[in-house]
Amino acid sequence: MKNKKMSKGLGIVLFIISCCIAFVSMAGIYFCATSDIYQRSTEALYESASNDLLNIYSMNALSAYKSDFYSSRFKQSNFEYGVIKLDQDEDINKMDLNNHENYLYCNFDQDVPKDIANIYTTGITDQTEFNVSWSFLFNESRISTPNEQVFYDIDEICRYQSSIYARVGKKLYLTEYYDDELFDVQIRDLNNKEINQYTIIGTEEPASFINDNQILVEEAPKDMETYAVVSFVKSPLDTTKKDGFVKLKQMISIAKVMSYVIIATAIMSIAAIFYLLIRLISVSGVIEGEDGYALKGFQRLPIDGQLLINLAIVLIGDYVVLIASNLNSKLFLVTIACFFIVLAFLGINMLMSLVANFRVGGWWHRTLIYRIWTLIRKILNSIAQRLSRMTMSKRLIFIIMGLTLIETFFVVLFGASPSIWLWMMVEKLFIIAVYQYFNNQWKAIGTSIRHIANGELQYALPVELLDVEYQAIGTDINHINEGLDIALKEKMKSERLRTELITNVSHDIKTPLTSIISYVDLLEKHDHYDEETKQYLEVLSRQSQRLKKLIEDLIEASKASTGAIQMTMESVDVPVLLTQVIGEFEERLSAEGITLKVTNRVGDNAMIEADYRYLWRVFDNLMVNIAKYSQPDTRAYVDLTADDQHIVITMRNISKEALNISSDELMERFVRGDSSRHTEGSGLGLAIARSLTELMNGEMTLDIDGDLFKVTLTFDRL
Amino acid sequence: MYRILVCDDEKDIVSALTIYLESEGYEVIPCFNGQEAIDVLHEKSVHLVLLDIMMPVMDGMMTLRQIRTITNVPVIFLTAKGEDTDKVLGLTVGADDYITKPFNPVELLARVKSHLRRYMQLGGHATDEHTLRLGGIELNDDAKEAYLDGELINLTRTEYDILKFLMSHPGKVYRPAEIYSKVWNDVSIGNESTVAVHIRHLREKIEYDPANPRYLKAVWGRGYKMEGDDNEK
Repeated sequence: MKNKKMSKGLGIVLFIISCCIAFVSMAGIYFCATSDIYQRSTEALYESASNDLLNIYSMNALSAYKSDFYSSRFKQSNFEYGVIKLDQDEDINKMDLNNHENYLYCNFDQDVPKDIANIYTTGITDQTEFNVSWSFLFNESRISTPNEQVFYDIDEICRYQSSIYARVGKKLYLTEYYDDELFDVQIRDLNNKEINQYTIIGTEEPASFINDNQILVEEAPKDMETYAVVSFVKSPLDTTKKDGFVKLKQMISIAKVMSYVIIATAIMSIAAIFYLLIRLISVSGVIEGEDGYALKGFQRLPIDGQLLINLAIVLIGDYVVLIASNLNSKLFLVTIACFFIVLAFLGINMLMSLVANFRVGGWWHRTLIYRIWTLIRKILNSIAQRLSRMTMSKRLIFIIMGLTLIETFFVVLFGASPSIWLWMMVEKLFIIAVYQYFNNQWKAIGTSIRHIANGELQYALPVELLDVEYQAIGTDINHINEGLDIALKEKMKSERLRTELITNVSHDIKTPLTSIISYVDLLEKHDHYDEETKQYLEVLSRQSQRLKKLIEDLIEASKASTGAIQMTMESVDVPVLLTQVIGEFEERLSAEGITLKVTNRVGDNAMIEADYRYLWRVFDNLMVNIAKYSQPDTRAYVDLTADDQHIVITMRNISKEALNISSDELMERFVRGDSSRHTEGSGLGLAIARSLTELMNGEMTLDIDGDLFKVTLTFDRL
Repeated sequence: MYRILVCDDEKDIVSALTIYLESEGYEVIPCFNGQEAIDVLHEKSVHLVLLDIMMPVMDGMMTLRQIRTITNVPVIFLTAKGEDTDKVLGLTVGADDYITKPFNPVELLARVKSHLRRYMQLGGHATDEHTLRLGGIELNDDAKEAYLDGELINLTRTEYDILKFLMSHPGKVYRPAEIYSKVWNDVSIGNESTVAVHIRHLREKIEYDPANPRYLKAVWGRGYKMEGDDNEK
């Protein structure tokens, strides 16, 4: 484990080293190629390089012009040179270099080999600065003499071939100004003939305007003395003398060899880079001793975040290198090397992180871009949702605010005149006014619909006040009103007729029934009947009582099912109700051989809303049902359960007869569990109970499971 | 000899009622519509009126209004209209009682008797503080006896206590637990169903039709109350 971990770090270090080697080799190859090391022979290389060195030596020699031109120093050197002082306008190329009288100093006595000799010329004054060194690599030796600044009055300003010249006597000074920048002065165009009469002085003595009449010219100082150094390398080269030329020769032969060596190094290091790259990529995201891939440290950051950090480091490094390059060349080299190492490290690290992220997957969801995008989407969504939840008026305000923002942006962008603000304001006010006008109309229509919904059918929408576009709708709404009104009146009428019918029929049936019952009763009061007559009378009495019960049930059922019963809803304590159920029915049930088990699974706090008189009818019907139809010597259960919203009362018993009909059928009017219809009862009990329960906003369901008969009453909990 | 006016458009019912009432020793004046009844009342003095509601010429409600301008004899409505609203309306107009058709002859006679006695004894007996009266029920606390329409009812001690307790607060609904603690003088621990059983027994004794009680009413889910007829409250 440890070993593998080491190898990853080691791999990165090796990678960076390989990169450095490759870079250095490549740079070397580039250098060799650009300085023709591959193309030219050792001798040719030496020749061109020694010319440069001769210049450096010449400068050094001149720097001691006041003493002896370093004559003693060059004694042990292959540097053969002579110094000539030139008069003004004297041309070194026309001088006889073999005449030793021309030289101020000379350390050779043979003839000057014209083909290899180097001539260095420069002007020297008291102000001349000598920046000279002896090294032959990266040598920046320089002899510089400052110019003298002289003011001249201009005779005129001339133009020739689009260049502007200031003429001073016979001299034409080239100025750095162009036509269109020039002041308001006369410019004369010169022709070819005229131009030949004047001497043109170019950038070697730069001139610049002070004002319309004067220019400032930087001229070589008047007291400048011109020196020339004629130099060549002693031939043959005396290798015993340890001077630059001997070293140069050795170095060039080494460089020639090295130029091929670095090609090999470059190839090898590049190969190493590729090998390490493949190895490092293969272990990216691998955690030792664990299956699969995982991210570590820096790799856990979002990919685009990593890229940004790397980019920032590179930019900072770049800036540091830039500063260093301005300071000095050695520091520059060091910083650029460091920068390169950092670059290599960041590169491989980023690559490994990328590979690891791709391997682990889900990198896209970790990126900053994705997160920002999700955030923006969330904000947009919430804005959209809020907008959608707003009323039209509020939405309009938001839309107008948005529009104003966009418009303001463009107005500011294009710098429109202030009057546009006024126009924009008027425009917004106009939009709002128009919207308000139509919105009010809609509100009026909405109000009328609400009135209809609330049952105020007399409400008429003032159609004439509506916009033409909405008048048709308004008229239709008013028609609905009328239509509904008619329908409702008819319904109410038929409802009333039905209720009246029930009442009247019940009266009409009850009146003869009263007579029957009364007279049967009167007959029974006599005691001079034989047995047979007594039996007949008993049947008459029983059946007339049954008829009475049937009629009462029938009337109640029809009233309950048509909703013609006025419910007075009051809060009802269900546990108390259960107690009363026990009190009322326990004895009656046990008379039939049925044991009543009442269970309260809710506790004391269970309230519902019902009309207690009709609730009594419901329980009476259901419990009488149990008493009538239960198998003797069984138990009947009444359970009270509840949830947050509902109170549920279930009644279960075992049926005497096989219940081979569905619960839906059983609930229908006149249907009874026993097909024989021997027992008393109208078959209306369940139907009445259900209708009454529903009128009290409850629900009654029947379940039949074999012989198990189960009634469930559900009420809303208070 | 009390004189009772029976008014019903159904002749058979009038004759049946006549037979019942005469067998109890009352004198019966039969009428077949409201106008007739009023005419009779103008001529003769009557001790009680049995009045049908749905009648031709002049219906029961109208008739009752007219009767009340003449006399304040007890008037018992006798009708097939069994609606609660009808009962309330009848009692509001000035009826003393209300019997629905088909009627139970025993109940009818008992009520007639009870109303006659009260009407005839009105002002004669000052109600002493030991007597509680609610509708047709009378409680003599000295003798610990209860009467329904003048008939002695056989009550157990507990039933008597419950009746007395409820009658002393007519119209007020008591939870079974409250009744238990008042009557048994004990804290109720799940004994409420005992109360419920006693009340049912009591109801069977003091009501002609226990399924449609007049006096001892179960307010389902809240408790029990004693209630007289509305005009007596």
